[in-house]
Amino acid sequence: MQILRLIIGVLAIIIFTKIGVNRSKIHEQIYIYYSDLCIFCNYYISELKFSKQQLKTLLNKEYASSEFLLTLNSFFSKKNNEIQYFPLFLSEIELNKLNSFFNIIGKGDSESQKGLISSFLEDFTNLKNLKYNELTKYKSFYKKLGFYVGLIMLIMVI
Amino acid sequence: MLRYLPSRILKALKHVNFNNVYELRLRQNKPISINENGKLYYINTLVTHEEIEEIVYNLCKKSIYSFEEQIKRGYVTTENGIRVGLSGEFVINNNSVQTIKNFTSLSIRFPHQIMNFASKFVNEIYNDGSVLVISKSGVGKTTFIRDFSRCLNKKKNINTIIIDERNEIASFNDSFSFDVGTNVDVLTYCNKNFGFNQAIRTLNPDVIITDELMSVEDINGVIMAILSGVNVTATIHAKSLSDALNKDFMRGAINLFNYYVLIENTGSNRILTIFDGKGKEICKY
Repeated sequence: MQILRLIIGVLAIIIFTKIGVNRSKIHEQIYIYYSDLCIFCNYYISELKFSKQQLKTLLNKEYASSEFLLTLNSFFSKKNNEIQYFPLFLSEIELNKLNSFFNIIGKGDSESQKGLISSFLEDFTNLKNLKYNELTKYKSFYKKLGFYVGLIMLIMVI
Repeated sequence: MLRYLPSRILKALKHVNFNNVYELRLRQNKPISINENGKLYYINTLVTHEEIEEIVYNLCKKSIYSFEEQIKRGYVTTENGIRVGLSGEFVINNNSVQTIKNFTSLSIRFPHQIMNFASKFVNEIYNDGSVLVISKSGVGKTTFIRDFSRCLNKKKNINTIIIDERNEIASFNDSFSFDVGTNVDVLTYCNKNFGFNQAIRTLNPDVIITDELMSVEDINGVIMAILSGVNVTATIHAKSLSDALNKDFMRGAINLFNYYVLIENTGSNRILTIFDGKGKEICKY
């Protein structure tokens, strides 16, 4: 009986630590999403300055975030008034900003696009830095929280 | 082309046979206008400004900036050689067109490859030399020179250069091109001035084919080519031979060409009148 309680307690530590790790991964996903967004903007500005290849060529670049790739793919494949894909972890304000961004890209000559995208890039870079700070702050916090909750469960069970 | 149109416009066009359509015009707040086999009719669906903007955006593959140079010249050419003329608000900077915005109408020209349109001329009449093809707009000049290239390459083993300024003659892209013959090099989206220089200096042409001579610079390119021993086949907008030769920029081109081909529209048919270099009629068919 005592051994069973111990096993349950250890399992609780493992499960709650895992929950904590997963929770912290969301912050990592958000940070990587904004990193890829900034990379996309930089590639785009580079195209506007030089070879002016179509936006779709930027799909073939290396992006770490599968969520960002989904966003890009849905942008290129959507027709008329279809809704574009955005990940669930974005807040409403962030969603509105991204909608504005995808509503203007490709819709003007290179000079006007350079100005607009540079402005968005600045905002996205600030957001990326903010998300990085949140990531460093909460990454170990959630892991420890999960562990301690599991530990409390173990103590309670024993 | 149809995949670039909004669903409401596509629905209005579902009964149209595009094999016979020469031109489709979409004008803001006006009915759709169609030129089928030379006859004009309307479809009572009003096109909105937003739909026109959407079509341009889709035509440019969501990258209007990558079509900037074409837009400055007032058109966009799709991968199948369909030329879309643009009307809207021109943005002028330092006396040159920077871009067009707030598009208000689109003139969509559908090219058709008509095999053997030029075969009688090439096989029975043409015996070397330079050719000027004359007609009004939309009658078949580009169709003729496209087939001229194909037939000439079949008849002779010669180097042909096509200066395809709007990508309408050969319509080259990754997945599609018209049949313009085997020994053909195409300079796509290349302006005539640069094209003539490039072709003569580096591509060893026997004949250069281009369309729409419109300026003294174009004629100078033709003169340079002919004086370099290269035959030139080109087109010009005019309703008759005399009309073509009387244009201001054509002054330096009198006696340049060995043949003039006048194409006239009789509804669903075309009449070709062939003149020699002195303007004397050779035949009509």
